[in-house]
Amino acid sequence: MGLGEDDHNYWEQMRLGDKQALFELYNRQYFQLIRSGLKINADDELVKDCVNQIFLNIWDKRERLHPVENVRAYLITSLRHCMLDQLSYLNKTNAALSKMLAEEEWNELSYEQVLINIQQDDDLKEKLKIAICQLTPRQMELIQLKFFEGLSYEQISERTAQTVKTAYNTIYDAIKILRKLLK
Amino acid sequence: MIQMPGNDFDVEELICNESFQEYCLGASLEHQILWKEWMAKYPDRKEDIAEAERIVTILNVKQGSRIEQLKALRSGLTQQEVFQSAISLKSGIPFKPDISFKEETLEPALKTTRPGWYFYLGSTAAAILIAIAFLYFYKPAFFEAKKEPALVHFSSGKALRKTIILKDGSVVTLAKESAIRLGEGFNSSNREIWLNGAAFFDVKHDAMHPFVVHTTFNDIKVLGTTFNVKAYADSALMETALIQGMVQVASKKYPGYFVVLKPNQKLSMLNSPAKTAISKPGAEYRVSELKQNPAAPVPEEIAWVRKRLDIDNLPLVVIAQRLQEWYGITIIITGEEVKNYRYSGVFENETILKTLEALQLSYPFHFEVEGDRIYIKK
Repeated sequence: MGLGEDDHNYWEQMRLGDKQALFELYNRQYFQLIRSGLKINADDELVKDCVNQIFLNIWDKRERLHPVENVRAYLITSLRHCMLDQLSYLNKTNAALSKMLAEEEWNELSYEQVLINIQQDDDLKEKLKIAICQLTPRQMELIQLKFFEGLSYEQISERTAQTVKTAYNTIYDAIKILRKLLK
Repeated sequence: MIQMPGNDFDVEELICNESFQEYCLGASLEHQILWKEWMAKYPDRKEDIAEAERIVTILNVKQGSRIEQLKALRSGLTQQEVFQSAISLKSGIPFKPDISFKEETLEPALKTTRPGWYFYLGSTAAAILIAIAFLYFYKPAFFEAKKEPALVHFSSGKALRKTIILKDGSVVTLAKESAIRLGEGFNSSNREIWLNGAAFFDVKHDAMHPFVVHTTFNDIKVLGTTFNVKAYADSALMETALIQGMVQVASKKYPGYFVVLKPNQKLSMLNSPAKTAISKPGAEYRVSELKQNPAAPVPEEIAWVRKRLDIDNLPLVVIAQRLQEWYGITIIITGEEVKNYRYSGVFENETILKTLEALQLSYPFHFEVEGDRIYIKK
């Protein structure tokens, strides 16, 4: 609740023309937005451009913006629209477009899919597919929490009801396997 | 304090290191500087470090780098503003930019062209041309003409030295014919300045809010440190010498290229006027050690601002006179009693603030700082 409150305050400050508040919002939401963007389309360049684009747009029309209850949700929706515009204009992924228009509920990519799709090198894609199969579901889960969601070992241990040491060791072992297979 | 691994680390360990993961994400400047410095210590493990970074980047699916992206956003905003004022100056009517993507002609190959949001800047090529022409010809004037609230601009003119104490507690000493301009709303959390000329900086440490010095060709970022910068806009040579702490010098010409300096190192950059677009930044940037001459303990780069100050049972009013001459700052003492306080001591390589604080220890007085003035009272 407290965090949402802060976002709300920064939003109000930003509407009044405080550029620093805009940067605060950016820093606070950056990784969240990138993650939700990647789940729509695993193209990190596109996602990063759209994230910056929505902040530029917000700043540009700050005087006409209204108070927003949930700033994060607003930003994520803006990001989706921005990516949709980009994708439809570029006519790059018709499939993704029709899928997105057809479904009210967004069909998000899994972390494993994002992992593979983001790579442009076919050889590496194949290796990743194999590597993911070699990991236990638990290892995969922890890798996602650590590297994708960006949680600390402490937070992971709370979330998965195990000690920090066990969480660390699980990830360490998984990395060992991955490294061998991604050579 | 972050625990950095030793030379015997294994790659898995490095991948699992939370601070290293932060570094790979480019989430904070502090991690960036710490790890760059750490890497410089182990050149023989370069390949292992690169491997660890590769794996982390695969697993975090290229979410970084927040710092780089924020920089891009800032420059996008600046361009937007410059462009808008260019348009409104030319036409006399406020410019309302059109934000939609659709009417712009975009290369279809998104992957290779990296569209950026710069295409946002204009809906016609002509408009972009005007903006570029404006940027090219009027940029300095634009910054100077901007309405500035009091005391954001300091220049030394013909004086040998001029010392300014900034709101965040950092001390800047300008050399002859040098000037700084404070960023809009400069305060302890927004520490950005523009420098033309040479200056010595003693920056108040604050890891959360980097202190940024913009010069014509480079941006220098620091967390809290002592360093000297020589960057006259009309000179091809730019120098940064570091005395304490850590600084990062980022090239404007080669976005993304930066050098991290360690204490007692100096970075020289020769800006070649020729359009050598393909040239590598390594050729223009050179890092060297500051010469340590045992006879003169003060490196040549900062000798102009530091010296030995011998005080032997002198009244404060005389000491103030000496400080005033040396640092180029106005000192005003109120109260006859204070003027006659007597002190003895030897000060070497201290900033004006440190010197005054040391004097306070032996016989207390109060002082207040206001930009280029210091007020001393009982």
